[in-house]
Amino acid sequence: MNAANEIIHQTMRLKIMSALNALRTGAKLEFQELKSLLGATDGNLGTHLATLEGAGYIAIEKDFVGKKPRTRVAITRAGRRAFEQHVDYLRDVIAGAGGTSTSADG
Amino acid sequence: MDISREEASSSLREIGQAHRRSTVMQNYRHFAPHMLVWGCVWLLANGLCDFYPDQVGLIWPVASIVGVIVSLANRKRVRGRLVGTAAGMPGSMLAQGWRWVLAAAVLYAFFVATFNVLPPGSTIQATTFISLFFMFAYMIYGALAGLRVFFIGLIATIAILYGYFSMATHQFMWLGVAAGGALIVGALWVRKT
Repeated sequence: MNAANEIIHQTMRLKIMSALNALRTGAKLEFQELKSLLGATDGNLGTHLATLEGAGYIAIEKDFVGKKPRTRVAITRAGRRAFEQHVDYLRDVIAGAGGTSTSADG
Repeated sequence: MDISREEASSSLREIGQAHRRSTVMQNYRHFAPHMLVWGCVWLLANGLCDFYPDQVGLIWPVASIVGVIVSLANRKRVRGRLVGTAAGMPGSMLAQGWRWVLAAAVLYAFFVATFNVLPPGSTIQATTFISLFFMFAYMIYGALAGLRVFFIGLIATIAILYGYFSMATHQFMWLGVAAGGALIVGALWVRKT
């Protein structure tokens, strides 16, 4: 049976993972796009991205376009797998098969 | 970690919303550059047709080829930006490029066949038909991929029909401003998403 993922389950991180999971493999979203997509603030988004990056679920790439700094975010293969497992767990809970097990790494 | 059914259900709703918004944003990002290119093509080609109405048969094929080439270049640039180096693989780009050329050839053949079956009474009638065809296609795409594109197609369609039935002169210019202008303004609107 799938287990709940405490890292992913937090509301903002769930939205971040969902938005990134909708992209094709290797595709990236810019920080500002993600911010407007989720209605988050800079600080809030930055904190949650750091948590997800620390868990290996997303990859953050920083570079410059001309003189302007740019931050792009992509979901990793491990992140996609963990997210899908968490979604399966949520479906299990709704179907009545959910338990109280917890997983941090999906 | 204990998650109730209500919480699980609410989380799945949030996941669905974030997924939809992300998908629509991606669709807009892919579509906006093409819309801008074809808005400019529509504006310039119809503008030229207004000044040189006897050259419609030359202006539109040339404008269409230029549009396809710029769209292909745009596609390569956008995919490269979105996906990074993996998307820029030559084999993949070449395959996708040929699909576009094939699609353009199919469209050209469609209009040739249609005009042979139902010959238009004038060049403005033919050009209006082609413009309407694409604006309805935009509406269909918009209904499926993002409502902004639907509304752009709808506004352009209304403007085209107004010009066709109400204007006695400068119909080409109106067609260019209405359809081309709607696409250009629409592309800028969609890009801001």
